[in-house]
Amino acid sequence: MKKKILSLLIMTAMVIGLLAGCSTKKASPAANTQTTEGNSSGEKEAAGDEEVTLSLVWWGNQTRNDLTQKAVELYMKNNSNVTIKTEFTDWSGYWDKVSTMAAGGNLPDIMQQDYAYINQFQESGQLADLTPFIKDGTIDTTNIPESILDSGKIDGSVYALSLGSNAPMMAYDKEIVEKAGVTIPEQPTIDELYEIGQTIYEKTGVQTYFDGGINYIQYLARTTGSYLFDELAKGTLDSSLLYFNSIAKFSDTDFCIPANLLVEKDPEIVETKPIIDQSTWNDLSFSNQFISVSSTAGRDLGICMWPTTADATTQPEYLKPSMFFSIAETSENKEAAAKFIDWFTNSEEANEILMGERGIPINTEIADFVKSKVDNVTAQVFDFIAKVTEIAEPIDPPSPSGFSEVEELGKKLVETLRYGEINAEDAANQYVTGSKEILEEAAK
Amino acid sequence: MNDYVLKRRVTKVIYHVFTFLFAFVMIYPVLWMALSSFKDTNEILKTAQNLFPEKFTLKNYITGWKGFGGYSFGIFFRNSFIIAGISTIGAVASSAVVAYGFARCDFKLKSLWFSCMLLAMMLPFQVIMIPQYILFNRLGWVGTYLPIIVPQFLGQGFFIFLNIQFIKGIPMDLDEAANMDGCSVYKIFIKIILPLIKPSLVTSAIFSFMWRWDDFLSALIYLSDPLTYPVSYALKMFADPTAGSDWGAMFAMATLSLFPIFVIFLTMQKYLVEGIASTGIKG
Amino acid sequence: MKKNSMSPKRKRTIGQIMNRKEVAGYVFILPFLIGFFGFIILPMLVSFGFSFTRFNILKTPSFIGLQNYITMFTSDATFWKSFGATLYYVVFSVPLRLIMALIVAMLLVKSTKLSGFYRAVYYLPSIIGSSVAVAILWKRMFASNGVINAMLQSTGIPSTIAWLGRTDTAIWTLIILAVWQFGSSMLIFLSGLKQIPVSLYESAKVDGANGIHRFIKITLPMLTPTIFFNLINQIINGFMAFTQSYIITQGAPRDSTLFYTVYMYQNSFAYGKLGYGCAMAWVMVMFVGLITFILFKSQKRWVYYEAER
Repeated sequence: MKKKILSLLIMTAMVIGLLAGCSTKKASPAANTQTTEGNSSGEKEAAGDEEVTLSLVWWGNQTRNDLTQKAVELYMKNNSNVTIKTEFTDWSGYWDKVSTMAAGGNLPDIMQQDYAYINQFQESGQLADLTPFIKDGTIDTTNIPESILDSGKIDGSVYALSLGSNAPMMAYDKEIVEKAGVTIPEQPTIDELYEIGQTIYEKTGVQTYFDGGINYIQYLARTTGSYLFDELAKGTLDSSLLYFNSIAKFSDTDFCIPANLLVEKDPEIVETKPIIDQSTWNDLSFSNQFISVSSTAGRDLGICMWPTTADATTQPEYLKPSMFFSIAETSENKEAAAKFIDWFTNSEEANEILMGERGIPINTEIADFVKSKVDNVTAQVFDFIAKVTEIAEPIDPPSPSGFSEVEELGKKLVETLRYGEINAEDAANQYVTGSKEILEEAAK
Repeated sequence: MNDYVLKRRVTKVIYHVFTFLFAFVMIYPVLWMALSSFKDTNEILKTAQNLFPEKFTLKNYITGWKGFGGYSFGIFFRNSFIIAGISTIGAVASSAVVAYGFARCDFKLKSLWFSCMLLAMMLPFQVIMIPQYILFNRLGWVGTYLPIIVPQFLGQGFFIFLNIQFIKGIPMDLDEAANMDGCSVYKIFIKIILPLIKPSLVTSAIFSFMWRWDDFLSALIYLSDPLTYPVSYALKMFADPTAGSDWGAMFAMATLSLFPIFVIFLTMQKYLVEGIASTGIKG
Repeated sequence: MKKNSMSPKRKRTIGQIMNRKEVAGYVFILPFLIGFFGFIILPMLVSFGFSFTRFNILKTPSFIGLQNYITMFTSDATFWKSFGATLYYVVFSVPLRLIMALIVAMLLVKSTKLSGFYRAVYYLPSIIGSSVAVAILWKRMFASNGVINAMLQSTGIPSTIAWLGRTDTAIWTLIILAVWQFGSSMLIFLSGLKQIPVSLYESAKVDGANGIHRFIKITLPMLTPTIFFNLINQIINGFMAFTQSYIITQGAPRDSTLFYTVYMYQNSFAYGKLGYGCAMAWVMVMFVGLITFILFKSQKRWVYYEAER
């Protein structure tokens, strides 16, 4: 019996060793390519007309899949030496798929990337540094604002290129707002929203939604020029307390949509958002959702910024990359991949197909070009982004590891608060101490 | 006597009324889904209570069938048939063979292997997914159907267990008699046991086909070319929580994807009727 | 057996060797052994090894001993909550589903003209499985303005309950879903019922036993292997239930429907704690394994195998 246990243990140890071995092996060629970066530019000319096969993976729905595939086909037609193998999947499956691929050392050449995940992938050395390609002009950045390039920067190097811009927005039902006789400011304060909500409920009986999840806590931190994850790492209560107090202020009233309805009218899924069936008159999300929310609701919606505080010292509104493309460190065709990304971002022919479906194009000239071709609803988003661009402060750095768990903790505490089983102060305290632990654990 | 006939009739009517009503409750949700696929997407969202569409439209089927990026649902259906069909043949055949070994043969370490089989059934796929991916990647199988299909040919715990239970229900006298006649173990398995466990083979086949047809996780992990995607996986792509979902198209394709399983069930369930009961073996 | 193999001199042919039950057994289970050693045991051991590490999928695992197990049992309240929710789900859904399946199987075992149709109809809900369509459907049905409330209202009960929004009712929507999809168990019961020799019933009829009597004296005992199988399977499946919770409720409200596997999955992938997820998986394997073991031991007392008579 003892022998059996021993042999089992040895086997387990061997297996772990094997796996650890394969991940260290994985890291070493990555290190090699970094040192030979200089060589790769030498190979470039030779690689001009060679047959190249790129793999490209993204998440999306029918529209995005169709448009992207069409663009890719056009690219292959224009560049007959390039073959692009596409893969697409749904959002939730996407991250399982790419993390499994990464674990197997098998990441595709180009992958669509999200702001919440980019840090994790970069930290573990999965992503290629794009800076050399930007410097040598493979990726043309003349018409791309510095602040947008910065959003894909980690430790001074660009690891991902934004595919479109986004901003925190509140959508509202124009008809209801008109009926109640209120006007919505371009950027309401929380107190203003409170009063508006009250009036609308009295006049029309329609309720208010108030929450933007962890993004909103970050938003509130930004009103004082602070960065939420710094606060959480230090265990500072400020922004979290402000957030939970505001949530409590709204959820204590009867003009705010009750928690038990939010389970079935889930604001995180476009189709079930309470604004869709007029359970509420407003919705807090990001501007890339405006088009789908509008078309799902089938009504005219208005658009404004997220509520700020009355005593805000800095502007919290920011531009956010809706998603990125990044190149895998393991890719053997980084150059060709960079060329494709350049075309995808900077060419009129590509964007004439894509039509800003991934967010407002980051190349300002291309953005103007696309704007002239879109419908009214989309134009509304273009105008909104233009307005935000004027006042926006730079976005917070990409979220640290442990982000998802901190986000989930916040959601749970908000739920508990709305069910009246905890007060705002305790919720904020639990949030900060809990988050601190999570972040410390994740950093190990 | 007349009374008796009347009573029989009444029970019969009650039986049918009851089963029918109950059947309606059972299929209401399915009906709802099927009928919703003829509704406009916005109508699905707003008039969830109505069973019948206000305006009957085939639009969802047209946009849905188109699929994604030029890959139509015709391709996805073909792939599903290949995966589910081959897997089912493999799973049913191999599981029956393995089950016979466990049920009728005595050999060393039998209970250890049986426990291993159960253990493998209890382990959630999600936790062995990563190591398994690495393994299949080393074999060069990723991107092909091999990681999905090959394991099916090596016995599936559920079906093995099911067949064992059925084989244990067959009296030993039959084997012994055949053995006396000089039949080998293998012959006994093929000539005597296999025909008698037909119900469990049919059940295995129905389940196996259905599970492989519905399975999207292994497709998600192991397949890379959209040309090889099965229906189950493609269906997921209609739903995008952030960029908006086409529920109409999804309902339409989801409804279509039920047909193959349903047809398989209808044709197979006939064979469930013929078991030992009809052959009346035991005297 | 032993005597046979000891008998000297007689040279055995390959056929004879193959026909020895000792050898034949291994020949028959060979496919399983290949699969187990080829594709299962290594990933299984690796995941067991992972359970002693801190491991973000994208990084290299680092060994931390029993830390994951200690955290789980001592300081993770959500772990216990998810365990409780799953246990609750299993305790109610498994018996209800099996009873439902057995009753319907008994109703449908008679071969009438319509029985094929009825079987298909009752099996239909299981066919739609747990796709996204079911998730939407279920949410809509149990919504505050959904069909369930409409039905209750039409019978005079003024119900506006948000079934999915209450911690005490949300889990029941999932239990009802499980019971509604009783088709698989029903099918297995049907095959089991079909295996009972008609002659037994005939002789019982001659003895003058009535329906209930026949059910208790013949059907039930003859069906015990099938019941046993269904029970074991449903318990395993119940603990491994994932999709229902994952796509319909995502654990809401307040973790009351957070299934064990969903929490495990969140840890493994969303939270980047694959090591912890693996540890959770093995705790579950131990727990379910223990229950299965006890059930197997109890077999002798209540499961009746024709072959062992």
